[in-house]
Amino acid sequence: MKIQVKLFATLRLKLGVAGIEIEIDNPVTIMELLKLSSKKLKFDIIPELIEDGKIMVGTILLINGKNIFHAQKLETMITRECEVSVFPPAGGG
Amino acid sequence: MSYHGKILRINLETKEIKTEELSKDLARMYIGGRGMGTKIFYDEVDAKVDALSPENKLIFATGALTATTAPTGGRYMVVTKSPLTSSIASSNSGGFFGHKLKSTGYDVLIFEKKAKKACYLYLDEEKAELRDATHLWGKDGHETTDILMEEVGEKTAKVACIGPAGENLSLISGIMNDKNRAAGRSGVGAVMGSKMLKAIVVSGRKKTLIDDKEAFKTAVKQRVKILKENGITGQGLPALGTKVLDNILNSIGAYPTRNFQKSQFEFVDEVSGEALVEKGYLVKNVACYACPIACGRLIELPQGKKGEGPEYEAGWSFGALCEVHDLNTITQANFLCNELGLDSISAGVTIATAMELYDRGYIKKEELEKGPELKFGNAEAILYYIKKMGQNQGIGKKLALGSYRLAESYGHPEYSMTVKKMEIPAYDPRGIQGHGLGYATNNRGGCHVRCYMISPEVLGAPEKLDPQELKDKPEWVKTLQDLTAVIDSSGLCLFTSFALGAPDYTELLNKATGFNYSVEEIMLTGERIWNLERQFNLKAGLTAADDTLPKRLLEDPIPAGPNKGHVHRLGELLPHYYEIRGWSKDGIPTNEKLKELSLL
Ligand code: SF4
Repeated sequence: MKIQVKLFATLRLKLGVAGIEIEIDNPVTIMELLKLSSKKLKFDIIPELIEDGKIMVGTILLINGKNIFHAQKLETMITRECEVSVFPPAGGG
Repeated sequence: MSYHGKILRINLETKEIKTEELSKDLARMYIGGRGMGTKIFYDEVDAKVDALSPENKLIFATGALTATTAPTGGRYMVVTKSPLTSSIASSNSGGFFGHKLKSTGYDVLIFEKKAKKACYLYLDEEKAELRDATHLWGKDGHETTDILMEEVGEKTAKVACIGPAGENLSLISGIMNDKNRAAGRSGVGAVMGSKMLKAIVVSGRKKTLIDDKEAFKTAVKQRVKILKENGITGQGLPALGTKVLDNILNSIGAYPTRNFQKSQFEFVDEVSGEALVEKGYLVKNVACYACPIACGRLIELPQGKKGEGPEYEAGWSFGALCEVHDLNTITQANFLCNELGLDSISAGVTIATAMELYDRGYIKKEELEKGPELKFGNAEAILYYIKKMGQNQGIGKKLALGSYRLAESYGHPEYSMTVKKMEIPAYDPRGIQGHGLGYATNNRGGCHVRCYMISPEVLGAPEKLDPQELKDKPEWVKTLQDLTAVIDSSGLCLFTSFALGAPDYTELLNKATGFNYSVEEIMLTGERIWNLERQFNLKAGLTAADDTLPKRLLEDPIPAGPNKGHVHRLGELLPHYYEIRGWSKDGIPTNEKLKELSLL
């Protein structure tokens, strides 16, 4: 199945890409998806988002608009085709 | 002590100007800025006063940490009665004006009555003069600033002024300082206009004295470090400014679109903060006085026009809310508001209201007098009607009164997305429950900066809360409202609160003022300020019935996206909020609460 990974904010500006597509055969956790994405991007995005195994304050990870923080956090499983949005610590208005 | 201990009282009618002493007790009880300004205003002005009459007063108050080295310590607060909401108005601004104002040696300015003809105040350490401003009347804020800078001939002077919108008593006009910074909300520009006060020019070098210099220096250093190391204040805001939020709010489905009829905008990628950088509009980020965050944007459009912004809210109000996806036009709209002295949130929301009224056939084509059609998505209409609004011409006369009065004049106030008649900013409460409670209970109406629940509910700072969960939200709202009152009274920027908390503000205040507050006392002070504002509003005639949201947000579920099916559940939150506030079921502070806060 195909997962659309969308990158935002400083990640988008730094890498110059708005998103990538990751093809998976079996369900993966969001953490695994981030690793697969890093591989495809040839850039480790994980240190930008996660510190000591925890989601950094300000980092937002969404599956179809729903924050994984309120599911199983980094262990949240991706079982279906979906859109994953990745925001490094951002800011407010 | 980080106060000069001086108030300047200016009677615009008699031109009498006198200096009064600022009481130390007042400073301790209300900190400064918003708190002190509100207390002075509350004691001196009848809450029932007509906001645009000479009997209303206009206060400029600096904070306890304004003009110190505390991070973002450059802010000032305008306090008055709002002609838009009839509630207390306090409108905050950054830039450099606040720093200079305090460097004149005065903590607070109180303007009374109405001038016989247009004037401006010149103030420095030695003199305070009311000068003629008839040659400035009718000029926009940028021209006014340029002329005044030339006239006073001091490079370091700073100017706060109104544009044509304030002169024309637009209820959504603001006070602009440093050209592009605004005490934008609550219609404070109209109050200044009603007094025929065009501008204030300040110049001075008086140092703010610090109680414990060395300890303050260390405290500041530590807080700057925290701000620099925080992901939000150290990376996100400097890189993308507030417009980083477009994609965030849109992705979670809480990005109000088409006058809150939808909560996602299909063209977000064309108008987002990322687009502002990718299109090459961003020249560099700019900072207010003593700010290590620097969230401001210096922008140059391809046609050569330069200016600041748009911030997230302005970009959204002229963008998604009106379904306009031309970032160039949106940016120009923001420039135009700065020049005309219009509140860019209220202006955009009002145009979106007009678009819905036009769409539904209530505003007729003939009324537009051959102007562009008020259709959602029509970029041309945005610039055209902002000008009409600022200049008070044609249908612009109705628009200049804000969204509520516009919709009401057609018999359909339900299409106005306002709280207490003030336009709601860029977050759909149906998708963020705590933030909606913050809107409904806000002392100045539809505003996001008195209780920024977006921080915990969306961004996850200081911790991540589920935006649809109701539990503990009233408690969070109360705490953030009280804490924000402290920040606003200190003269610091709310954005520091992404990284700093009550103990940080307490320490900075203690080292600067020598007051030795405990953290509990500081939070109680914030609560005191909140309740005093509430008391003013109740006296002014507002009631619990005003603590509400537009019907659309309470009854019409979000039609699609991640928040599909949700409404705002205010009825489930409000009673508990009143309870923990120590207010009656009718939202009136109990005597017990008032005594606890030394308000009785
Ligand atoms: S964070 Fe932004 S608005 Fe606040 S003081 Fe700094 S530059 Fe000004």
